[in-house]
Amino acid sequence: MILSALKPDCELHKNAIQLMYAIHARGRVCCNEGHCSYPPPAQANQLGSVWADCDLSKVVGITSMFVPVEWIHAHGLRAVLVIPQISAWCSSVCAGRCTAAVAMVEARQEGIPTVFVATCDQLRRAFDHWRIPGEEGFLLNVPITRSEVAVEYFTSELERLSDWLCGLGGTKPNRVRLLQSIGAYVRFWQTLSLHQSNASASAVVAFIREAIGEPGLGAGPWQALECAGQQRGPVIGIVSGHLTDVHLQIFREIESAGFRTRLLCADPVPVAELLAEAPWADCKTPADLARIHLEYTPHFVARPNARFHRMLWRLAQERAISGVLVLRTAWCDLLEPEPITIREQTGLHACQVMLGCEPEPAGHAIGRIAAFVEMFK
Amino acid sequence: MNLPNYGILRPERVGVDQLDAAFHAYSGAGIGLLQESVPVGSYVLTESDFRLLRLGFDNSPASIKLWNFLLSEQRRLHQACRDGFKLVACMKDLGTVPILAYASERIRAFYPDGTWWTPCLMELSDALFTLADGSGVGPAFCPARAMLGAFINGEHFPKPDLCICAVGAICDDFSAIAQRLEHLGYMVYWWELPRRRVPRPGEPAVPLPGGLCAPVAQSQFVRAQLESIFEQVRQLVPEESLSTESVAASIRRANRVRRLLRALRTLVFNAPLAPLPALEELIAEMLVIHFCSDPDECIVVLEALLDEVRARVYAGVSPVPFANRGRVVIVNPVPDLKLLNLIEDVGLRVCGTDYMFTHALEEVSETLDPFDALARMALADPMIGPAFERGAGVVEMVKRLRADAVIVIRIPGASHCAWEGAAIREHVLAHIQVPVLELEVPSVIDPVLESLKTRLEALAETVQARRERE
Repeated sequence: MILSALKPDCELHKNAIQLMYAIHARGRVCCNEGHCSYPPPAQANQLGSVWADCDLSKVVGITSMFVPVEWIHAHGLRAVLVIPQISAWCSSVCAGRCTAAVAMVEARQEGIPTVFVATCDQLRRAFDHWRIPGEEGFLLNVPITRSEVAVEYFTSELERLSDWLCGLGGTKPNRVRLLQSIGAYVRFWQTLSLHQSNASASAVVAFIREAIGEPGLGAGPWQALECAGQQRGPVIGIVSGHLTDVHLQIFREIESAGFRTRLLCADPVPVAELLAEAPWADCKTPADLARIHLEYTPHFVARPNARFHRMLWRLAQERAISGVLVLRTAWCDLLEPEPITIREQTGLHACQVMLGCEPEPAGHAIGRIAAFVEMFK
Repeated sequence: MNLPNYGILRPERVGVDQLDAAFHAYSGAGIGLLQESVPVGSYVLTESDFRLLRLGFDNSPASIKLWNFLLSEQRRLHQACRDGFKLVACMKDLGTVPILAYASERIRAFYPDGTWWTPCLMELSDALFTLADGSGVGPAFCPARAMLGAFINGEHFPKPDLCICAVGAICDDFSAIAQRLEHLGYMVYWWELPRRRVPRPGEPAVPLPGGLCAPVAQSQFVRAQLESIFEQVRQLVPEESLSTESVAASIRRANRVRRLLRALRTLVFNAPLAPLPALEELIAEMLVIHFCSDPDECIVVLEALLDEVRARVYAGVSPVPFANRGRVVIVNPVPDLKLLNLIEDVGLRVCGTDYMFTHALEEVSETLDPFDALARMALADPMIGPAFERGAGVVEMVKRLRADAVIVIRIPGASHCAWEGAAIREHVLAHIQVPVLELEVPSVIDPVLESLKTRLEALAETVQARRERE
């Protein structure tokens, strides 16, 4: 009702929409106004009608939180997170290769067209190394720096991605379709941000793996997610490079040992809290999407990465985190200095467990974490 | 044509004591080249460069001048600081940003990256790795981590007025180290080299030096950033009115250095006998990326070296006549300089190099807009593209220079080396049938010297056997 009294697209209107989404995300009101740029939840849950001409059974794997799922969805394709299995520790480690990067390129053999990102040297070289003629992989150049030209460049990369998605059977999105897709995900990020802070790391990963391709979920899965983090015990924040099956195993071991885990930053899981705060009401073009995903995805690979540490500090406060566990695969140079940097920049306790130097890392991780918790107790 | 030093000493590879004796002999003969030089061995005492005691050097006056120029950089930078010059620390781009910095006459640009050789030169007595360890950058990193230690202890170069670091498609090691620097309080200006990709069919593209090409979108991205860097440089010296023409003039001077180096490389790699040892050739190449902090003196040093090499080729003499069992191309720089001596000791001759900055060896266009020209040069960096493109460059070099084998240097901890060696080997073997040897080389090779020697000897024997069969 309030919205109907405002001139569409004026600042106040945009702010009102933002506010409405925020309130809606907390489950207090439903939007049934007709002036929103994005569809109301009732419509969002019926995305099938909007994408009637598309085959949503076609999936695209994503390997990084920098890949905008809204963009893939707007092409009528379903995004799935790639969390590969590590099959060859020793040969990778001996060769100086990051085991997560090796696992990721090997996961391509599963036949899912996958978007890789060139945010680290190991992954971009892994992508090149195993390039198979005719196989369906795409390397997205995500800028490491943050500037206007970086946004422009990332926009051109999203356009290139769009062509690739169309080659897979996707449809070039028009403005309406893009806005519909963005609208669906705005609610997804906002709702997720409310539930994520209390959910365990393994529950969040499991949930997002299932849900990210279908943002118009009913209430059930959300409640399940919220219930997933009700244990007692010290709260450990997780910072990691790309997740693998070994990471998930370690999460489960840590949680079953009585620690509460909270995911802070781990590819390819987006940080919903920050995305939920983005100025989505202004997001109407691929350039806007590029800007939001660069600016609202603080990451340790970014240069400079001060925003990443500010995010860690903030999430640590909001989630009552006692200490940060950095899970680093062997040869991941970008994460190696993080424990000391996290301590310096945020004042949080931080310890590191390196994966890849032993066949059963979970037991070692538990021992380290137990000692870590003893230290800050 | 007379050899510049002929009649005093014949060309030879000698130890540092003999080199210093040669220095005194040349000085006594009034060879003007050495007016501001000191005996190379004196750096052992003054700078603790102990590795000099174990290296073999070319004994010409031009070589003594070259070593003096290299080893005096630290002193010259401190002097420049005292003289009111602004110091710009360029990082990782290897050849692009110094051209922008030298648009000003009041700036000295240098690469702190070069500190990666300090643990070698000082035989680990510098403790730079230990300092890096203490700051969270451990042995899993490549020897470039010595740079972090050098920033921390402040003993190897003056504190720069501006650090400009390239990130993006670069080694993760370096990106992490530079980020640590910023967290330690150094102001770092970041710019980005995107991963170079092959343009799609129909996509607007620009040709790059060296025969590659890149999409226009990437060229524009880099160009815009270079303009921002130039703005940073301008702010550093507001008293100078730097313009695009200043950049163009700097490009012309850089091209003069590059032409000299090209002439030198052509002679050194193609002459029947190697007129210059591989070690001095490497040092000469290193000068091109930032002119060893003094573009004008760099030209003098390279001209002297070129004269010496021309005269030796004309006279048909070599300081390393024993390096005649096979011709090899080297890929990646050597963490320990002694390895280049060792390669020659087993009879192999270095006749082609890709020391990770082949883009800095090519002339920059003087007809294009200066920023466009520099953007294209930056995008030609062999390290930011797919490994197969670098492999193709190696194949072309092997064919052009009639090399018998390729040695890929593996730098411990370097993320690119984990992948590249195999990729280059595959590419070479798929296109030309020459042996490829991948060698992991630490900063000081003494503990593994015999093992490396055995592998190099095996390569020399393989090459020789192949030659005999043919």
